[in-house]
Amino acid sequence: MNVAPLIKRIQGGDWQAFEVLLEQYSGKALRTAYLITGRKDIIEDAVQEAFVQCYRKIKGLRDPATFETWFYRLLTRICWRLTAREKGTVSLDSLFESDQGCALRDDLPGDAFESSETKRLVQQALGKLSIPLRTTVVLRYYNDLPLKEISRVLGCREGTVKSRLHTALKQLADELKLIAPELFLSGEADAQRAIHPGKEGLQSEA
Amino acid sequence: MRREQFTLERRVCKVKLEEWLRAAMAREAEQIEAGPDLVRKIKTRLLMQQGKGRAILITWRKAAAATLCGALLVGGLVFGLSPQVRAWANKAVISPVLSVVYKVIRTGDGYTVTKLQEGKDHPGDGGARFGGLEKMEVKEAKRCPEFSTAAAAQAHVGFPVHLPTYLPEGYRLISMTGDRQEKSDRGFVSVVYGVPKEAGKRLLLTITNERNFLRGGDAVQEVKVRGNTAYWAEFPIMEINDANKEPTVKVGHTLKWEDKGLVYMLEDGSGTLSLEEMLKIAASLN
Repeated sequence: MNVAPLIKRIQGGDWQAFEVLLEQYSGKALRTAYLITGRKDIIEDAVQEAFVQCYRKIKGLRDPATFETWFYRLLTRICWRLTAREKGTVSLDSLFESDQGCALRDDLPGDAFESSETKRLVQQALGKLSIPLRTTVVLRYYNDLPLKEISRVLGCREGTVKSRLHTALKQLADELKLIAPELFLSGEADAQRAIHPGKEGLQSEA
Repeated sequence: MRREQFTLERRVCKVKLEEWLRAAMAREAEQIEAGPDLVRKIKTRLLMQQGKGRAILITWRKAAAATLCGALLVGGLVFGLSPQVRAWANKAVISPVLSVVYKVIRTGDGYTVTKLQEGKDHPGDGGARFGGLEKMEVKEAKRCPEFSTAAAAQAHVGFPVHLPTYLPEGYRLISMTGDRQEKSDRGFVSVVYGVPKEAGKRLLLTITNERNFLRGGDAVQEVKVRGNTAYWAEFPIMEINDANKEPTVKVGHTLKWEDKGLVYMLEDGSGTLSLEEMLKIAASLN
């Protein structure tokens, strides 16, 4: 979606345009903040603060087309700050959800259980990443931002983003191998098919 | 072959992991939904901040901060660059507030010290505020030549320099300096004697060819030195040993006389030498 015309209207002082922006981006911003922080109790504050700062500073945004990068930059900074401030406290949501996750094992049948269990394990591994690594992973695999834009959001070089992603994936793999090695056994065959889709077919035909 | 297998496994792992990550995060994020409350709260917050009161507050704070910074900057520049302003501030602000002046008053049986707060006890007095002693601007003094012998001093000042052959017990020569004005031929030699390890015991002998130096106004006793009239006088010496305590006053003595066109002055800053001792020293000049 081309957001530039909307941003230009906001820069011109159009309050209704900002309301449209709020409707469009508040949900995604809230979910991004949740994935970065892992806490439901602080994400509303983070998003509110991000939009307030956005409204105050948007006139200084030179290229409206780069709004998303610019906004995610604001949001990640606020998330990091709030997470650092709340470091000593434990989210009640996370405590509650870890128990709930264990309970699901018996209640959900077949595919639902498998996907839910995998999800839980991946989330558990994701939660062990440091904030910069987790933010990089979220921006890449949830927000689908290219490496260059992630580097702009995080204010680092593209090489650093690559390095962070590599480190994050390695840590996640190591963690998952420890807690669920069976996930990798089935995964290898699937991935082999994904990388060499024709080869298997040819072999079977032969 | 093994290496290719290893690389393949790694790629497999990465692809699968990325797939899981996308799925896990998408599903995790699904449970978070921005309610109408969030948008309303943000709007309310923004509208509140746009309100007049807030705007005035921000403007007032900014203006105050800017004024303070500006004043500090200008003040710093003015005080840093202008010696006249520094001098004015010292005289008009710092000195009246911070300086303490002690006045030494002669009484019937000695001297007393009175504390004066400058600017309060002598408002607008300016000059003669210390019993006739005016405050003078002290400029960096020209360093006088130092001599090791009387002959060297004599060669420099151009008049005979006689030093005492008798000194009280423990006293030794500390330093000898002197100078001469080229235009007027007036000069002086100043010789300091003292007792090593006793800083308070100092005896100063000054010889000059400037006759105005001999003034008998503050004399307390007339005596004779080698047949010449000499004046034995006393002067107060204020000692401040501890900044938190009141200063003390002790009495020093001078003995002045004129001999063959030269004025001699012996000054005992310690106040320990008697008139007899001073006369003995004066008589031994050779």
